[in-house]
Amino acid sequence: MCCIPSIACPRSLADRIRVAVTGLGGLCAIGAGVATLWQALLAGQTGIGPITGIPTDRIQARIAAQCAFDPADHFGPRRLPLMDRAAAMAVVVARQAMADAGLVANPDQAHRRGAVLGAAIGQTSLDDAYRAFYGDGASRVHPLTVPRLMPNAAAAHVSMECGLRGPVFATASACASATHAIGQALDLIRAGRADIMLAGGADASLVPGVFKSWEGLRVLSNEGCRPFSQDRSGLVLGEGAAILVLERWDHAVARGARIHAELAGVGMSADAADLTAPAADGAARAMRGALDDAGLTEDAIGTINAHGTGTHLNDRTEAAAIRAVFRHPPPTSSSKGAIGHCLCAAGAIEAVITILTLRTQTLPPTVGFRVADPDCAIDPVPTARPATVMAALSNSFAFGGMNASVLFRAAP
Amino acid sequence: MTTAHINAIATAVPPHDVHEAFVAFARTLLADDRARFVFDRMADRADIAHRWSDFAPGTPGAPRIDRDGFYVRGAFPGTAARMALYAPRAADLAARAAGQLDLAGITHLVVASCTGFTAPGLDQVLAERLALSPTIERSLIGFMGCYAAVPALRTARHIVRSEPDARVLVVNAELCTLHLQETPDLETVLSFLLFGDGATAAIVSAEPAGIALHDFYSTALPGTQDLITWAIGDQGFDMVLSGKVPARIGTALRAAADADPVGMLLDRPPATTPHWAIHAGGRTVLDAVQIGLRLPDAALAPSRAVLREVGNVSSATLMFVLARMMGQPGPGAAMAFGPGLCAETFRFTVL
Repeated sequence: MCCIPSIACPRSLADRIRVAVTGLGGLCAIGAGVATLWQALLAGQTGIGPITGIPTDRIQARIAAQCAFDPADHFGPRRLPLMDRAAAMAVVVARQAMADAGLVANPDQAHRRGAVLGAAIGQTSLDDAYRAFYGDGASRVHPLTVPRLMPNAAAAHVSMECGLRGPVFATASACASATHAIGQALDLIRAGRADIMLAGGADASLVPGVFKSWEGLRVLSNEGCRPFSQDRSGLVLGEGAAILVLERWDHAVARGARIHAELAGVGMSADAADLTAPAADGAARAMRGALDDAGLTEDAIGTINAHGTGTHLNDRTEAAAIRAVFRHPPPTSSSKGAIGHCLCAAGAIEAVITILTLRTQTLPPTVGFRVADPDCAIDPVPTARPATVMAALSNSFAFGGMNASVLFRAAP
Repeated sequence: MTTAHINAIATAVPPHDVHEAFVAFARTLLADDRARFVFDRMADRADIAHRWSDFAPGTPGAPRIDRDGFYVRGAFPGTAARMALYAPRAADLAARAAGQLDLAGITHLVVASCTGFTAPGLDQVLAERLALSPTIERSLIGFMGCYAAVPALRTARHIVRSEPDARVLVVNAELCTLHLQETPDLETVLSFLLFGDGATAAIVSAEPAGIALHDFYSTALPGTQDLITWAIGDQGFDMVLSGKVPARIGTALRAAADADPVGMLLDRPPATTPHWAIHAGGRTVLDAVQIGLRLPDAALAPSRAVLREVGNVSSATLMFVLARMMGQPGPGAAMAFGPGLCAETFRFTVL
């Protein structure tokens, strides 16, 4: 099966350009900062708990993975009104990632730097505006509602914060948005359009209107998120953000940057079948595409960070896809039992977790897993454990049948 | 007890750089765009710039892969024809390496090779070619694969320790490019990216000069028999090299580093050892060793340089790495990996 959309020319420039991950930033319900969230994850902590801070009397959801995050702790009164909660999260993790990469804004190189983030609507701003207009009968809403809710707002704020004047945009593929963003950033560097790209996503959708919308799909759990567990009962929404600093390999080496991992490949596919039901074939093609793009065979993959939402259908389908690609499926964990489903940021946070897996040579657990499911015949890593992992996949499969898988290789 | 030393190491490669030509040929074997795409990516990630062979590259795209038409598309030679070339060429290459050394007073010859068989053996052919004494004691370490440099050195060490006046010539000679395959199987074709030809010769004696050899250690990794195999086929020797090898090696080294300080690492923490002579089996193998032992980049630099300059020359590879360390005093650890999986290791001190 050919996963390659086109072969422009043999051994092209893109074959020769490698891309390093030189900076990481992350924020989610189990911690702010990648070191903190990683330690919490290894300890099996979950950030899922009772919903606080919003009225819940008209929604059925009772639990979510909310972040202890107040934008006012990070921004002054001049910038704060310009930003949705998601954009604020994006800028905070961009700061972390730039600092981790040892980078500062550099006007001389700004045109060679860019950002691609998942296209998350500023749901907090949208919800506030609609509640004011429809619910409260207000005659006007916040004048900055549009620039706050627009799906490219986070990328715009990150570009301004970090001095990025090259390619900057947002990718819209629902829950695969951040993974597609990472893949797009990879290709932009390979194509020679940028030397450094910030890639990832931010999502802050834990507002009543969003919970109410998800209710209709009947996939939310009020018990907990238990990916790949036979007693799983659905997904739990989360919020958070993560950004990776991606850098042309020789550029990173030349400036002496610490390289966390190599972003070696991306695979993208579409089911073209159903708006909400996933298809194993599409997921499998995304994983195979990432392997092909990296020039690796399936034996090289030491672990997979699954999309693993905790719904019956997703986990069963994803396990089948993994078994279709791998004769001997590698240990496969899902982080969503700890961080919830962070939607347009999910792929970014999970990419950070995948990179930390390679950095520490430790498999993170599937928090919430309790009972093996014969329909999900994979090793879900019930508790953290050491392992030698030379390469790892991170999967994201979205409503709309849009699939993306990114492949990271360990950097010694 | 007498300490054995490698007093000198000489290396030789054949005259023709075939890396690009073999890569170009290999991709033409593949059946579809996807396989060629994967192969191209792999080729550009292999960190190999040169591999050497007695075969001169042919015209790109021509039916003859090599200039003289040993490999012709659709009519690749059988194993007998390959072995007919092995006997003279392996001896020539080994003699070129050994000829750089002072062979006066050699008492023993130990030859390691896994890329051909012949009788009289390469040891006998070489002894005659080098005008060594007809009464010299010869040993042939055959078909052990990529780690055979270590059993060869270990054998020489045992000889020196039992006969302190012995001067042992240790030869590694490998002609991997004799085993080019014409197959559309991607995983087999990928192995064409790695292997090249090379020979080394070393003098091992009790004379305290060069590299002192200590503490040989051998371990087989359980449950890994299928991961590397090397079998005699009808069209040359057939290689199976699983992508699981690097991680399996990394796991073993990490366990050794964490839990068994008197085992594979021989009671010396990785961080205190400046020299690391690692069999350059491939980029990912070296990555796995570096990650498993948590070594700095500099530790792997000699092994990576050998991979870049000559590729994986099977049992000769480790000797190419050790040759780069001569004259740089300090302790070191050597490791080679091969079928089994086995890890063959020893410590050394460069004087």
